Amino acid sequence: MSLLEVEDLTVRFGDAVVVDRLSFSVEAGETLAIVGESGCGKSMTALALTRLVAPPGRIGGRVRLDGLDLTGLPEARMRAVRGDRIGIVFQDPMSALNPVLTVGEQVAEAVRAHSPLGARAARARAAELLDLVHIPDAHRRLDDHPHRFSGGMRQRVAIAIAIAANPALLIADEPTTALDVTIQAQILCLLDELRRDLGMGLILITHDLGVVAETADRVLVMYAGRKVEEQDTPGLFAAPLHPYTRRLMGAKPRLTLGEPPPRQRLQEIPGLVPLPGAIPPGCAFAPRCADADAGCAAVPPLQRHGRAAVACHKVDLAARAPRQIPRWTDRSQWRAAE
Amino acid sequence: MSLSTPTHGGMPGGILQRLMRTPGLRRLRGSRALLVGLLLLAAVVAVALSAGLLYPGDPRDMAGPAGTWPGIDARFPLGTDMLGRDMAAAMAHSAGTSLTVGIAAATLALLVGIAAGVLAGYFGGAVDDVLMRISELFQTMPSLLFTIILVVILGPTTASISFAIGITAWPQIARLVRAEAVRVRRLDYVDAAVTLGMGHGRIVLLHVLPNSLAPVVVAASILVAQAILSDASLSFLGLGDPNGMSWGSMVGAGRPMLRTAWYMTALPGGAIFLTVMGFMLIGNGLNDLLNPRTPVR
Amino acid sequence: MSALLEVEDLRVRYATRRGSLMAVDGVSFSLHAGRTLGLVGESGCGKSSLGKAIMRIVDPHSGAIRLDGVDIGRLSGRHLRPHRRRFQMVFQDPAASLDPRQRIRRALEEPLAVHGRGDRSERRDRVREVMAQVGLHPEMADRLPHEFSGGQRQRIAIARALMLEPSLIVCDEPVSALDVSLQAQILNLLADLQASRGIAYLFISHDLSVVQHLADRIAVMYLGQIVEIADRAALWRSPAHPYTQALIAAVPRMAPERRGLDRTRLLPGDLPAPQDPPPGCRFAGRCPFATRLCREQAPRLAEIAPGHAVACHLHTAPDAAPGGAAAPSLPHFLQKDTVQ
Repeated sequence: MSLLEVEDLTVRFGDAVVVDRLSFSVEAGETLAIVGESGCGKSMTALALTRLVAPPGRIGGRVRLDGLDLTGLPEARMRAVRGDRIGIVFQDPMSALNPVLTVGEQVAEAVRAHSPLGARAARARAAELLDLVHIPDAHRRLDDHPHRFSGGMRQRVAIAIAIAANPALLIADEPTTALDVTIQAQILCLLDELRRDLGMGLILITHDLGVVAETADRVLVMYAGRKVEEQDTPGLFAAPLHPYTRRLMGAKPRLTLGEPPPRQRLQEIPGLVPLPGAIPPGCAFAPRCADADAGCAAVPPLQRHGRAAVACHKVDLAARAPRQIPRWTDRSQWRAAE
Repeated sequence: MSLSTPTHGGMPGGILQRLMRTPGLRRLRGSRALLVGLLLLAAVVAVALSAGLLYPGDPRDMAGPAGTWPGIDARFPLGTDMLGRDMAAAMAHSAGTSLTVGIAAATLALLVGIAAGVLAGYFGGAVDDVLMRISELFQTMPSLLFTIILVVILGPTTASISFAIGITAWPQIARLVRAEAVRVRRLDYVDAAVTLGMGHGRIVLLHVLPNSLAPVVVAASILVAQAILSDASLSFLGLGDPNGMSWGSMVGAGRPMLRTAWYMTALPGGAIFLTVMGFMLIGNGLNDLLNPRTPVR
Repeated sequence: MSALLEVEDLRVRYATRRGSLMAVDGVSFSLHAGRTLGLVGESGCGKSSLGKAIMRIVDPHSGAIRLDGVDIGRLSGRHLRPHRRRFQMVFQDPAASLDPRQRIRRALEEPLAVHGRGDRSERRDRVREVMAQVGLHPEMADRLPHEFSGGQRQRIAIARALMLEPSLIVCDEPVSALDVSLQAQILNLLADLQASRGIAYLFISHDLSVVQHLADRIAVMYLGQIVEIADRAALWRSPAHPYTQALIAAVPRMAPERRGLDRTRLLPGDLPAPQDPPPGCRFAGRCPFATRLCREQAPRLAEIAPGHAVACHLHTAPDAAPGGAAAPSLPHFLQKDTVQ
C-alpha cells in the first residue's frame, strides 16, 4: 500500500471542472512532481488533497493517506490531519508568515498545535527545526521578526513550520518560484534532504521541468485538469510520451555548458491553455496538437504500462518496444536511458 | 486562479467590468444592502421632489390646532407641532434641504479631495508634503467646531453651510485618492507613458486619475450621509438656514416638548436616520461589489 | 564601428528608510545596433534600476548614457522628448504595463499622438500594420486589455514599443510572467523583429537559459556592479567569475542525472544589504575562493581576453592565478558538470 492513494480526484466550481478524475499515488520517501502550466489544475490538486478548496468549489473522489480515507473525515479531524500528517509549503514566502509574530513564536505555535509540549520545550523544538532547515544561528534568530529574514530564509522558516509535526507527506506548491536561482537550488536541496532524512513523501508542484529533472522520482504531467502522462523521471526526459510533454520540453531554451549551441527557433505551442469551463471536448490538447486528427474527438483513455501512463490516441504504449524503465536506485542506468 | 468569466463588449470603465465579473453569490449579498439603500434613497428623493406639489403652501404657516398627535386628525397624518404647523408638510419640505446640503457638500469635498489626492500621490515629494500637511491641519481640528465657526462667519445660508461642511470633509477623500494614486503611479503603464514622452498633465488625466477613483465611489455615498448628519447638527444648534426648514431644526425645535410630544423630535429624527442609513447601505453595498475577496487559487 | 548605446560609469541612487543605497554603482558597457546585450543577475542586483535609468524613468545620479553620441542622461523634459522615440521599453508584467481602461487602439496610437506623427487615418494604418507584425488580428484593436491572455498582452506591449520604430528596446524580464509555451512565442517574436528591423535589445533577465538563447553579449551584475562581461561564446565556454559560475551551476537543467549532486555546487548565503555593501569585493562573503585581498580591496573590471572582462582578484592579482588568467585552472564551480 502506498503512503498516499488518490483515486478519481475531481474539483468542480459550478460547471467548471478544474481537476478531472485524477488518480495517482505517492510512496513514503518518494518525490512526485506534478507539472503543468498555469490553469492546469495543479495547485487546485494540492488544495483538494488537504480539503482546502474554498466554496463554492466541490471535491469528489477518494484520497487515502496511510489507509485513512480523508474524503469522509469530519472537518475537525481533517484539521488535525493537516499539519500533523500533511505539511504544506506555499509559493510566496512573504505572505506565508505573520509579520507581527517572531519567527520562534510561529514555529513553536506549529509545534504545540500537534503535541502537548510546554512553552519552553516548544521553543527548544523550534530552534531545533530552524537548525534542521539550516538557518544559521537558529537559537539567536528565534526572536527576530519575519521582515529581518530574506526571501530564501523565510521559505526555510515556512518549511520548518510545515515539518513541525513530522508529517508523513509534504506538499510543496511552487516553493521556489518566487526565489532567485541560487536560492532556489538551496531550497530544493533542503527539501530533498528533509525527504530523505525524515522519510516523507514529497509532492512537488511546479511549472519548471528543470526543477522536476533535478528533484523528482516520478512525474505527473497535467493539462486542462487531467493527467496526460506519468513516468519515472529518467524515462520522461529520455522519452516523453505525450505530444504536450514533448512540446513543453521543446519550448524552453536549454542551458548548455561549454560551447553555446547555434541559435534555433524555439518550438512554439500554438494557441492557449484552455480555461476551466471552456475545455474542448475530446482530447483537450487536440486543438494545439500537430499530430491530432479526427480520432482525437473522443477523450483518450489513460493507457498504462508498468509505471508509465499516457492519455493520447496517437501513442500506443503497449505496442512500443518493451522498454526497461530504469529505476532511480540503479545509477548505472542513468546514462543508458539517454 | 480566478474563475470569473471575462466580460466582452463595451462597458465603460473598470468599475462596471468588475461588477459584471463578481461571482453570483457575492453579488446577491452585496446588492441586498445596495437595493435597500437605493429604495430608501429613492423614497427620500421622491418625497423631496413632490413636496411642492403635495404641500404647495409655506410649511411654516400655521395649519391647524397646535400639538395634534399623529393619526388623530385626518388632515394631519403626522400631526402638528407646537405652533400648529403641519408636520407632514414640514418633513417633506425638509427632505430637499437635507439632500441638497448633503450632495453639495459631498461634491465640494470630492472635487477638492480628488484633486489634492491625485497631485500629492503622483508627484510625491514636496507637493505631497505640503498638501498632506494642509489636510492634516483640517483633520486635527474638531470638524463640527470648525464648521460652526465658518457658518457663523459666512452667515447661515444653504450655500455657506454646504461649503463649510464640504471644506472640512475633503481630507479623508484626499487621503484615499492619494493612496490609490501612489499605487497606480508605480504601475508599469505609468512608466510606459513616461517612456513615450508624455507630459505630467496627460499622464495624470489619462492614466492616474481614472484608475485611482474606485474607492471614492464607496466613500462618496458615506460622505453624503456624513454631510446630512453635520447639517442636522448645525440646524439642531440653531445655526441652520433660518429661511428654510430642515429635519435638524425640527429636532431642535421639538426638543423642549420631548416629554409631552416626543413625536415632534422622533419623526424628523427618524427621517434623518433612514436617509443616512440609505446612503450608508449604498456605500456598503458598493463596497461589497467592488472589493469582493479574491477567490482562493 | 561606433556603438548605438554607450553607458559610462552610471550610478543610480535611491533614498530608502534604511539610508541611501546605490542600486547601480559605476556601470559601463556599450551595445551595437542590431545586437542583443543580456543583463543577468539575481533580484536586488540593480539590473532593473539600470534599465529604468537608461529609459530615464529614474534619474541617474551620475555618469553618461549616450545614444548615438547624444548624452540622454543629462537631457530632461522638452529636450528629451524627441529622443524618446529612439528607445522604448517592454515591461515584465503585461497585466500591469497596459492601462486596464484603455482600448488597445488608444494604447497603440498614444505614442504617435504624443510625438505628433501622422493624421488619424495614418495612425490607424500604422496600428493595423504593427498589430499584424506582432501576430495580433487588427480586428482586436477595439478590445480592452483584460480580454487578452498574458501572451497576447505582451504582444500588445511589444507593439506599443514598436510604434515609433525605435533602434533600441529595453526588455525587462519580458517573458518571466508567462507560461513556458507562451515564452517561446514571445522569444521567437523578439528574434524575428531583430532580424527584420535591426533593433538592438538590452535584455534584462534572471533566466540564464533565455539569455543564452537570445544574447550576443552578456553582462553579469552583482549588487549594483558588473562582475563579468563577455561575448556569447566566451562567457558560456569559460565563465571566469566565481559568481557567474555559481549562477550557471544553480540553474536547474532538464538533466535527471544531475539529481542528488552534492551540496558543494550550492552558493551559500544571501545577497548582503545593498545599503551597506561590504568593503572589498562585494561577492567575497559568499565566495568559497575569497582571500584576504578580496575582503579588503575591491577588484576592478579588467580584460582577461579581448572583449572578456572580469572583476575578480583571482584573475587579475599577480600571484592569485597560477598559469595566468586565460587558463581557467582555477577552483571551479562547474567542475562536476563540465564532463557532461
